[in-house]
Amino acid sequence: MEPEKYREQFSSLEAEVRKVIVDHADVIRKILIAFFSGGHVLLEGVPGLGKTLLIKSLSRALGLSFKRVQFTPDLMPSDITGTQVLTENDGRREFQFKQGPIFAQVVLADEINRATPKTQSAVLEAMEERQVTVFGETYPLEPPFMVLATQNPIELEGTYPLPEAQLDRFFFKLLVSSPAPEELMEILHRTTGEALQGASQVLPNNGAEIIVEMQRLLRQVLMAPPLEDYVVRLVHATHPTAQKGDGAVPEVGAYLRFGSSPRGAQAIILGAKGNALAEGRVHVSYEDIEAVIYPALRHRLILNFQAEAENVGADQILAAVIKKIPRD
Amino acid sequence: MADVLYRKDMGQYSAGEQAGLPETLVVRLASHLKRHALWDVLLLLFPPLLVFSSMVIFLYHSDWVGRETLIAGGALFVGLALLTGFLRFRVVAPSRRAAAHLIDERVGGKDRFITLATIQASVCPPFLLARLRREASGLMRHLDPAGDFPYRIKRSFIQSLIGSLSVVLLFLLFQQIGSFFAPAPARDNELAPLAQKLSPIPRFSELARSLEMLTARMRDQGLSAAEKRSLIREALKRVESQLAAERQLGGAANDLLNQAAGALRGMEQGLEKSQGQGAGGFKNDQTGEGKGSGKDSGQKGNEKEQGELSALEIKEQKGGQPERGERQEMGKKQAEKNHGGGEKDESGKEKSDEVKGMGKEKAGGKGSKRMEEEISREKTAERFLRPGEQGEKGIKGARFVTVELPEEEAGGSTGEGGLGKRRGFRPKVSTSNAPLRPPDSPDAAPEKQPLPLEYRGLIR
Repeated sequence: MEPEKYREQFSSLEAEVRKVIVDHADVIRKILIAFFSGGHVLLEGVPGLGKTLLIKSLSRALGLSFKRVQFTPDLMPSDITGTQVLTENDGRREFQFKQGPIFAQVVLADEINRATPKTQSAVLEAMEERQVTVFGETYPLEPPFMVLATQNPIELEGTYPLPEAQLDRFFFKLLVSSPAPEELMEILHRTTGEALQGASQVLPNNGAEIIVEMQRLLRQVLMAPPLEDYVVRLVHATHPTAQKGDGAVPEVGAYLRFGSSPRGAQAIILGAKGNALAEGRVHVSYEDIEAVIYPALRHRLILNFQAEAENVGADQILAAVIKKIPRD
Repeated sequence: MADVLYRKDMGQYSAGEQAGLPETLVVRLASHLKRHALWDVLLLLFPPLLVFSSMVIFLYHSDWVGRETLIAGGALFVGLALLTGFLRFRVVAPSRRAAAHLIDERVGGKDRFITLATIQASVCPPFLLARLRREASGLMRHLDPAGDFPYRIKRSFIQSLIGSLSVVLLFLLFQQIGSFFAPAPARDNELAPLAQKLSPIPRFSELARSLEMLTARMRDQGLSAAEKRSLIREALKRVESQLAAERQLGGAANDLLNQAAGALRGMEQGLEKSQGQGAGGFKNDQTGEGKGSGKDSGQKGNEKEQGELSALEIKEQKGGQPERGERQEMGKKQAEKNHGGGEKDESGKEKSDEVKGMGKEKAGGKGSKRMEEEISREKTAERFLRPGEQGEKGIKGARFVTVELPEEEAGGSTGEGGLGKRRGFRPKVSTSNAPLRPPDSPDAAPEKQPLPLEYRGLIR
C-alpha cells in the first residue's frame, strides 16, 4: 500500500468517527493508531463521556465485526471466550464449541475492572496470543483483532484493579476527559434533536485485507537510529534502578517502584510510526515519539506508596523524564 | 560504520545524481562545519601560542633560558598545543548526524535529513526511501550551506584572547616587579665574547685584551661601583676612538666595535642602576669613609692616625684594595676625631666620596670626566691630581726612565724627583731621572701603544 492511500483511509476513518463523537480528536487518532499497530486500548474516564459510542462508531466505520461485553463481578470466563455445549445433531449428541463475544474483530470490554481477576485473565490470552483455548482446544481469532476496554477511575468499590501483567498488554492507555462547554453544547445538539445518525462504513467489504495492508505499511515506516536510541534512553530512564549520573530523574527514584517493560518501547516506536503515517510522512520524527510517550507508558509505570500519598501521577513523572532526557 | 554504509549506498548513483541527493548536502554541510571547527580550534590556540612564543623568546633574549631549554620547551608546548587542538577538534567537529540535524532545524525538515543521513538504506523499503529523498530534495533549495551557516567567531576565542592578554599583563607586571627588586643584569657577559671576536684581528688585539681584562675586573667584588664605572668609561673611550679610526679606514669591524660600545654602555647603565638601588647600604659606607677622609683633607690629627691613613693611600696607589672594614674603621676614628666639624667636615665628606673612586682611578691612570672635574675643584691631596698634573710630589703619573747624562749636566741636575727632593736625597751616580712629558703634550715621547691600565702602577 502507498503511504498516500494509507493517509487517505486514515483520514476518512477519523472524519467518520468525528461525525458522531464531539471532540476527543486525539483519542480517536490514538485509537486508530493503536488499531493499525495491532494493539489494544484501555480507555479511562468517568461514565457518560461517549467511550462506548466512540468504539461502536469506530467499528462501524471500519466495517468490522463488533461485540460488547459488560464486565460484572459475576461474569465467568466462559461468558467471554465461549464454551462447549452439548448439541444433538441427526440423533447424535456431541459437544460443540459455542464462540463467546471475544470472537469478534473489535471487542468492547466495558468496565473491565468490575470483573474478577479470573475473568479478566481469560481476556489475556486472547489479547496477546490472538487465540482462545477452551477445554484444551485452541481457536484462533480472526484478524484484525482489537480489544477496547474501558474503566471508571472513580467508582473503585467492588472493582478489581487490573494486574500489571494485564495492563502491560494494552498498547495505549487513553484518558477521556470531560467536554468543554462548547463541545458539550455540540453533544446536546447532536443527541437531543432528531435521531442520532451513526457512523457509516468507510472501508469497503474487504476492509480486513486493507487493514492488514495498512498494518504492514505502518511497520515499514523509516526510523533513524538516533530516534531509536532516544526511545531506548527514555524507557531506560523510567527505571528507578537506572538513576545514576547525569541522566538521573529524581521523580523516577522518588515515586516509581518499576519502570516500563520492553513492550513500552515497542508501543512507542509503533505508535510513532503510526503517527508519522497519519501525518503523511514515511519517517518518524522526534515529535511523533513525544506524541505517543504518554499513552504508551503511563500504564506501564508502577507507582509506589509515596506517589499515591502525594497524588503524583504517571504523567507527571513522564513529563520529568522527557524534560531530562535530551534528544541528541 | 556510518561512513561505510553511506559510501555503499551512494555507490549506486552517478556523480551527477549524487550531487542532487540530500545526503550529499548533509556531507557538504558537515565538511563546511568541520572547517569552521578547525578555525575555531586554531583561533583558540593562537593567542596562547603567540603569548608563549613571545615569552619564551623574551626569556631567551634575557638569558633566563638557554637555547636547549628554548627548543625543548617550544617543542613540548607545540606538541601539547597540537594534541589539545586535535582533541578539541574531535569534540567540536560536527558529525554528519549533527549536520543533518542542523539542516532539519533550518529548513523545517522534521528529521528527514537526519533519517537519510543515519538510516541503513539497504534494509529500508526502496519506495519509502525514494519518497523520503524526494521530500528532502524539495527542501534542499531552501538551504545554502555557506550562506546559511557563515563562520562566526566563537566565545571560546574571545575567552582565549582575554586569558592570553591577562597572562601577558601578569607576565609584564611580574617582570617589572622582578626587575625592580632584582639586581641589574650583567652586561659584561656580552663583552667577553666580543673581546674574543676582536682578538684575532691584529689591530684590535690590544683592545680585545683590555676588554677581557675589564671583564675580569668587573667580576672583582672588591671594586666599588664608581671604580667600575670609571674603568668602563675609559674602555668605552678607547673603543670609540678605535671606532672612529676604523671608520676613517673604512674597516669592516664596525659592527663588533659598535657592539662592544653598546655592551659597555649597557654595563655602565647597569652599574648606575644598581648603585641607585643599593643607595642605602652605600650611604652608610660613604658616611664612614667621608668622616675619615675629612680629617685627611683638612683637619689636623695625631701622628698615628695620619700614618694609618698614609698607609692606606699607599696601599691604594699600589693597586691593592684596602679592606672595607679597615677603611670603615679608619673613617670612624676620624669621625670621632672630627666631632662637631661643621663645614670642613662636610667638605671632607664630599671628598671622601671621591676618594672611594679615585683610589682605583689613580691606580688605573685615567679617570672619568666627572671625576676629573671634581678633582680639579679639590687640590688638597696629591692623589686627587689627574695624571700629568704638577703636584707637590712632582708630575702626577709620570713615568720615569733612567738616562745617561754628561758629567757636567749630571752635576747641575737637581735630580728632581718626588721623594728624593723632599728628603734631600741626591744620587751620586751620573744618572738622572728626567720626567717624561705628558702623553697628550706635543713633545711627548713617541709612545705607540697606550699601556694597559694594570701595568701603570708597576711602572710607577
